[in-house]
Amino acid sequence: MSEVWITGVGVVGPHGLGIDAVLESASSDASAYAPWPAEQDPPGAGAVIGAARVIPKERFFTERQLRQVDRVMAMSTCAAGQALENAGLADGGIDRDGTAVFFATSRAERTSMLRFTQPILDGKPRALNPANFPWMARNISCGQIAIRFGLRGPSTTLASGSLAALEAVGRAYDFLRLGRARTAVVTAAEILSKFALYSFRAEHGEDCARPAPAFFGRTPGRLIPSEGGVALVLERADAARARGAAAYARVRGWRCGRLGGGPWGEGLLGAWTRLLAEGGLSRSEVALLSACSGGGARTHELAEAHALSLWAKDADPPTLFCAPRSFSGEGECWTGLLQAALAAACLRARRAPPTRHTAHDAPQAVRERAQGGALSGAAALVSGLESDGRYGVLHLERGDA
Amino acid sequence: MSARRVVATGLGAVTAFGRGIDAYWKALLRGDSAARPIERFDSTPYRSRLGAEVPPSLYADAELRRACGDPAEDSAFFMALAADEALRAARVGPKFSDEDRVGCALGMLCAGAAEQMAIARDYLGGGPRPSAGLVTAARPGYQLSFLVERHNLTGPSGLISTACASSTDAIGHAFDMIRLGACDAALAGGGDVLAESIHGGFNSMFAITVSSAKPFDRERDGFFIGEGAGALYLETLESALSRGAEILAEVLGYGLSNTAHHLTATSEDGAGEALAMRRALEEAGVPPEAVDYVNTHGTATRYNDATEIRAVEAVFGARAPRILANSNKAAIGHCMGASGALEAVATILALKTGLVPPTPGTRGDAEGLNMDLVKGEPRRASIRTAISQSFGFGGACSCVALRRWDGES
Repeated sequence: MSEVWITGVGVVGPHGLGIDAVLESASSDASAYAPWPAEQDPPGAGAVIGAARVIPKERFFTERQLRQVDRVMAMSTCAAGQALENAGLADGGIDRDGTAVFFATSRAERTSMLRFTQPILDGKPRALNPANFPWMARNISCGQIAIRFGLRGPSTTLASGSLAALEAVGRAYDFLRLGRARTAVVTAAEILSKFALYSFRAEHGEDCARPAPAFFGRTPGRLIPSEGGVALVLERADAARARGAAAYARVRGWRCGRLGGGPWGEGLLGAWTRLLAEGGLSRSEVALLSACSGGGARTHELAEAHALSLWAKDADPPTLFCAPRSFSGEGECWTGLLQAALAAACLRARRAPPTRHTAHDAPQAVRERAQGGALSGAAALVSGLESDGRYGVLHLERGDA
Repeated sequence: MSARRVVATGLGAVTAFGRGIDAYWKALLRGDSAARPIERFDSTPYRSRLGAEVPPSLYADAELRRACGDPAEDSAFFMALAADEALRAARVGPKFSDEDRVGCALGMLCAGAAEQMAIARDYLGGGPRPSAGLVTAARPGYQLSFLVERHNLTGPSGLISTACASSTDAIGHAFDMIRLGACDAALAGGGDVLAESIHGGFNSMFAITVSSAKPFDRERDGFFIGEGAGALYLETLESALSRGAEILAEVLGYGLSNTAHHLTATSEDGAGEALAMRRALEEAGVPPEAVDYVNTHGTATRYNDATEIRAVEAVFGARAPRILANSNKAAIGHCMGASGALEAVATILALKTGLVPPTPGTRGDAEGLNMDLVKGEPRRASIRTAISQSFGFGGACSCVALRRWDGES
């Protein structure tokens, strides 16, 4: 089966545009957050959100087209366009029938659902506007990306929760390895709106009102809702080499499943270790582990924190731990894919940014590894875990390793 | 690529005809249509009131619902019933051990839509903040979470939401999981509900029939929405043989494509749709001339059927008139995200029994119709290889290729 490279990255989010903007922001003390809108009943003093600063819609849509796209379609298409440009595939170099589109989202359709169904809720169902109806389908952004760039390869949308982003990478990896496509554009996006904030707060309750996020410990921390779009270009290595493209990283492996009845921390550690073993690596060869914690103490965050503490006990030289949600907020799928994008960019830069708001009760060995710095090797793991025990883990290797 | 072969050893269904494969298959063979005026919500303001609801007695069966683990959302309830039937038929589960690593791939479109509407109503009306339970049930991933926890499925999983192509894609996803060795067996399919927002939406697009669904008929005027769930238990051939399971059919391959043409309309020439069909056949190692039967998407809308006819022509050419075809949507309605799974179930039953159910309500006189559309009575035929295909909003196209099980040839 073919080797698979990541050759392009696009980001639209609270840090601005591009993965370098995320890295720069994360490595400085700058905050990417904005105040929680006052008219939206902030959950507490100092509550913040991660809102996208700019969406370069005009670069990818005509004025007429812009009337037919909603925010998530615009954000995801812009991220995909950036990634294709970044990969050097924007100017006619793309094999349209051989390029797949994979999209992941957890709540993309929610805001447009409200807009479309409002006449029903107002008791005026005959006033439904058919022009807004397609936006109810959560794969519509996937279709928009395919239309905008003329991509007729395999196409799908995954919506299992935050983990869908890593699942999309895993599925794209399989499609490329199997020869079903030469290239895949993997995109994830989530948006914030007044209704999205209302739903987020309803779901996460008092976690929105806590004083601050808390990563890698057992203390409940604050969840910061966030929006953005990320896209990766994955390419079969032979296709990338043929056009002289450089790799951010190679995808070395992918594994997913669900933790069963045993302790989840140990189970997750076992999943990480098994994936490495499949690639012929041991834990001591992993330079970076990208964690999925959002700064709270939800079931999956506690399990991940425990797995990290077990890992920190004996891996030498030290693997750095990085939680991108500590500087990007809880953006479900968009931050799930950001984990992979950032890990690839960190491997290329040979450095990782620090995790902010490390919990005071996180083990010392974990806290030390969360401070960022130079990477000791060429391998990274990107980990995702859901509260129902479903996990996914991606193994990346620096492109020039 | 791994040479693992994948077979179906268990099927389950919930439709407007009731609970179970038997009710579904007998109604298909009779040529029944489940279209009725919708009663679950006030359908009188809409241009068409037609839909195909799961019988109220099933909705009202609190004991059955509790026996299913009391799912907080209806599509998960339907899928739980269908999964139970599929697992019983396959003689596995229903609760697996951690070591079994059974996977799960589901597809859906409208699941959670009623719950999302309830949250929106609270939001607009300034009512109390919705409960965390309601918000959880409204999440797209709820059905998958419910199923994997209920059956302790510890293998890989995925939830596909490619509109009306969702659960055909999900079957393909499960096929990949098994073939690539990520697991030895998987539950595939999906459940979906007849949601007011979707009924209203398709009504506003004039896609819901005001008379009856008539796929591939010159006078066709749209579909009616159905609901329910289809479930398939898939496993490696080796696993099925070693445990002496009854093999119902072999999954040979699948194909996906995007038409990259329009957000809601199918492509005019059928080229994008044909790509998914060709990819499925290529992966299956099946030449077009070996296909005996196409379970069509067959929505009975003017443009969809015309496009599908062109896609079939493009893929099968002169072979097309010798291919048996039907549409199940005129019987059970367009079950949205669950339609692909329910149609794959019907395709497998046709392969196994050698009976192709008729397409109710159609004269089969659509312009350019090139397939041998079965209508009126079921057709007895020796069909060995079939495809089941689904097309949806966002240009999503998926197709799965299946073969009758004749032993290890």
